[in-house]
Amino acid sequence: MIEQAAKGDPQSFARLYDLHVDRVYRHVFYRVSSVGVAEDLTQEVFLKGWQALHRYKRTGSPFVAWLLTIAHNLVIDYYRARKRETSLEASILPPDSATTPQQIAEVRWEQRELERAIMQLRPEQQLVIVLRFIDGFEYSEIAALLRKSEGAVRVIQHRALKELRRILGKRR
Amino acid sequence: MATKKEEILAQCIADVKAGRASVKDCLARYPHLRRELEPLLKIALAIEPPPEVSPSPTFKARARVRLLAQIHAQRPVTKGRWLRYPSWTFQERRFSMVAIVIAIIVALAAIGGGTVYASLDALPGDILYPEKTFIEDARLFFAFSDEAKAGTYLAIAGTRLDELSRLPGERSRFVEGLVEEYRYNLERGLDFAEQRIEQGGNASGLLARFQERLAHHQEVLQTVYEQVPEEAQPAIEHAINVSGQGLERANRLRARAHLENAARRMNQVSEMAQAGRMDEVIELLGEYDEGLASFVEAASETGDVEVLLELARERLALVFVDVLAIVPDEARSAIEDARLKTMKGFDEATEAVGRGQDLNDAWEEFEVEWEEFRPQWEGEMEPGSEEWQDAWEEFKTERGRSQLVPTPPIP
Repeated sequence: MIEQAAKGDPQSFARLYDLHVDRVYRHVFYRVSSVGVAEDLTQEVFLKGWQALHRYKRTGSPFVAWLLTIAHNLVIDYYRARKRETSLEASILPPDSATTPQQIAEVRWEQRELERAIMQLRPEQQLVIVLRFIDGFEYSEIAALLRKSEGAVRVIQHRALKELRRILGKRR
Repeated sequence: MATKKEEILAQCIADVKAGRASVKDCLARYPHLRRELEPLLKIALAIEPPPEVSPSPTFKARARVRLLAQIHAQRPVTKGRWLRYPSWTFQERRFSMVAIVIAIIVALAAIGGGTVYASLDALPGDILYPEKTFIEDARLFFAFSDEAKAGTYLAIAGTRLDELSRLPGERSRFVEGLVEEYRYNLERGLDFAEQRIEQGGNASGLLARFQERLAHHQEVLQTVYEQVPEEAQPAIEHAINVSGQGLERANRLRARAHLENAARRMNQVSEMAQAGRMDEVIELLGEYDEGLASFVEAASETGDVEVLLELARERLALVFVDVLAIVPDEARSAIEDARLKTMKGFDEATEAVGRGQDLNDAWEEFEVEWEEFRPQWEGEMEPGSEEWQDAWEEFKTERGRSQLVPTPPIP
């Protein structure tokens, strides 16, 4: 299906969309906590995916992981754009209108603090933490995606957790 | 290269998450790293996946259509188009929507009316086939309500089936793809029908159309099965299963649609009763009764009779609680009668179905019994009271005994 899509077959790409849209949406929603933004970014992920499909190479990581890295970059762009006008603290994970997913996302305060802290990690650290703990990918899959060794991914994970400890310690 | 510390941390996280060890076990295993490991482990374990969130079916379908429209229209997209602006607004969104609509119209105009017409007969492998699917995407794009979307998806599923039946033998490589498209469109259509029910719309007519079309699909597929080359038969068998499952789902949804119609009638009863319009209350109670019978008839066509009866019982019990809490006294006894009939009827029907009786027959029998029993208690005892329950049981027993007497054969 990926090969057909890469040859320019829109219907095959539409099937890929059907297979992965839930996972991509979930990943984006976790990062932005807003239905509207998550919907638009999800749409953007697939459009960018289509445009960049010729660059996709089977590297041992699942196709959806490749889509999630596009999502990751778009989320970073989104926050970067917002940061120009508002402070990071105020813009990250704002409480949104009371639609169901938002209500679902109203988790414990500590969890929210942790999410905010994750958003402050360096992009590569964020990606490793989210892919590993939120999306549940194996080290080998993340390593293939980042073109690094598994050991290097574990080092990034270790540093990210230490950084999270520092950020959370500063807040408390 | 990871040092031992990072490997140990990764191993501990994996062990604790998999339930192979506790945090305490891990720390005891590496006492020299305890001070560093403990806080990092706690943070790692506190990062939990979010609760299951899914995009709405409406968003998924719209986004799919927009994606295909953009791909087909080859619309150049600037980097980060929607995201570069901090003041990202609805207006921005509307602009991109308008752009897509224009892209569709321009593309349709470019294709040309004659070509559009000619493409309607196109089969997979034909030059005009992409235009045909593009037109379908455009139709979906302009189908705004759930009902319109459901109907359009059903029509597209029918088109895939028509293509299957006309596909020449040398193009059998397309059979599997067509079956997959048939499944996809059928399920999407039913998703939208379900959404219409959930959002309080009347979907019984729409679902009747699904039932009628799906019964026809089954016939077409049987014919196609006999015509296709042997290697394509498993795909057609799969399509027959898909169609059968779709019919079963449409049957269940239709029962649910009738149930919701009955619930809506009862809410209207409540509104009319509060407005003191008793004539309309009586009329609406009659319509509620008909709605109930329609639900029973539709439910009896499914393989989930008991589940549907339970669902209906719970749904209507809640409606009656709300309605009886607010209606004026003059309407109370008529509504209480309807409630009692509903609850008793569902109990009796569930029991009868459990004994292997057909639901429709059981319900008809119950309705006759209910009317025969009424003169025994009306004005005599409190409906639903213990005394009333005993009288009902006695009535049923007597009736059962009389039914045991065999009817003499006609000479």
